[in-house]
Amino acid sequence: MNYDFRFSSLLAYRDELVEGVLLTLQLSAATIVIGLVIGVVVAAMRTGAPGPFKAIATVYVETIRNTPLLVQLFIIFFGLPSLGLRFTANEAALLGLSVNLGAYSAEIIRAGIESVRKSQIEAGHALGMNGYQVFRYVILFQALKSIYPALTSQFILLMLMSSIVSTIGANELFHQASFIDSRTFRSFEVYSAITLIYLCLTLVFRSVFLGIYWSVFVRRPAR
Amino acid sequence: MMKYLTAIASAALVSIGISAPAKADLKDILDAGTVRIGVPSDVPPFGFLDENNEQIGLDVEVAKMIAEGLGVELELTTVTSANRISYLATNRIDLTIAAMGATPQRALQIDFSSPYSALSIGLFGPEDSGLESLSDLGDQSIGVARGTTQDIELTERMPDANIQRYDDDATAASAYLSGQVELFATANIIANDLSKRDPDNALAPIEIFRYSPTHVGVPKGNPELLRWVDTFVFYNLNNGRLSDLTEEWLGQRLPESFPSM
Repeated sequence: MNYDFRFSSLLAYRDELVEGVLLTLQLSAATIVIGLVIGVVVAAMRTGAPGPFKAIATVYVETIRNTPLLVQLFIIFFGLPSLGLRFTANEAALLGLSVNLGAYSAEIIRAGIESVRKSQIEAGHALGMNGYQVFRYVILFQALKSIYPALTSQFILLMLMSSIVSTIGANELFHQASFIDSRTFRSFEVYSAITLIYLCLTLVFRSVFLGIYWSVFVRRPAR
Repeated sequence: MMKYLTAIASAALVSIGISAPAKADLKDILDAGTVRIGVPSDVPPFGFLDENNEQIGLDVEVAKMIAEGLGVELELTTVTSANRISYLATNRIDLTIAAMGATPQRALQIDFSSPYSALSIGLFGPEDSGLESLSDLGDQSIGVARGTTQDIELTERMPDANIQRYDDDATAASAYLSGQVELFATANIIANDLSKRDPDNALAPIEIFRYSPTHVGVPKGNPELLRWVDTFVFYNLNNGRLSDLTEEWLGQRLPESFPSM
């Protein structure tokens, strides 16, 4: 092994790397928010909604969870324009990742909802809460608390999977790395650099999630 | 002119009355009445098989023209990019016409004629784009396969252009066809292929970045054959027939000032 490492060749491209990190962060953060909302709504539909809503939610979850993310992205980016729906690469990436994360988090949240004991729900009703209030204050809070580790793992997985949207031309971190590689041919340096960056991003995400857990579920007692 | 050449060569053969040196130089081909030409069968649009399993393509057409020019029968042999040089060097064929570019390394083993055609890379767009050259370019989005020569050329010439990079030509073509990008930087044969599949949305060249000429390969030690092929190429470039063929198979005519060896 006689490889001559030249990380200095990456310095000329630091603007591209910074741009890539920022877009990966924005994309992941926005996807997590949208995906979480989709997840909660769909999980509620699958557990407590009337038949047709339940059926729609089930079809959505099963379709998305049983097809490759890459295919979903290609349908949104290359397929939908035939129907007149045109998204830019970044919009298509946000949409595809959110729809994908929504389906996965819906299943995780559903597991949490089903783990809430029936007596808790009955107690909520006994206190005079309506259906929404029981869901919001009794079920959802306990459900999210019990599945929080699984949910945040899914979020981190999402951030790492966002590298796949480089195929449709979204300028996130991996896309920028491929670009730099195509110009410098320093593959080892480029990809080890972004490995380190992804690792740092994961650690940052984990710390943020831990902070949220602490402030939401631990410091304040369940209402 | 071809007939004249042929006549002279035949007369020379008859009067001198010698034949069969080790290599198949011009007089041996004329003597045998057959020219053996290697063409590809899996490199569209240069040489490939049609639905009837017949060999067609630009290189096949050029081979037919050469046989016609020599006034002899044509014997086509299929060559691959791996064996097209060794077939020539071992005298299994007289000429190779296989979308081959000339390089100094290859020229150590075989001789190259003047180029008979050329691949090109450039920027393509719809025929009604209204763009005449790169300088008319505004903020139109351009799809390109990342890291290819066309990507590098485009980035160098137009660093501020709105370039969308994809993993390969197929993905970039999908982006163009689905309207995700307005222009497409690629090779002329890919642009031509897309145009043939959908003639209503044909691509027209906006600017050609670079030409990669293709040459006829000739075995070493055949100066007369090489000279004849060069003359053939010169003549048919001058009368536009090679340019017609290039337009038919590759989608565009050859440039006015086409280089020669």
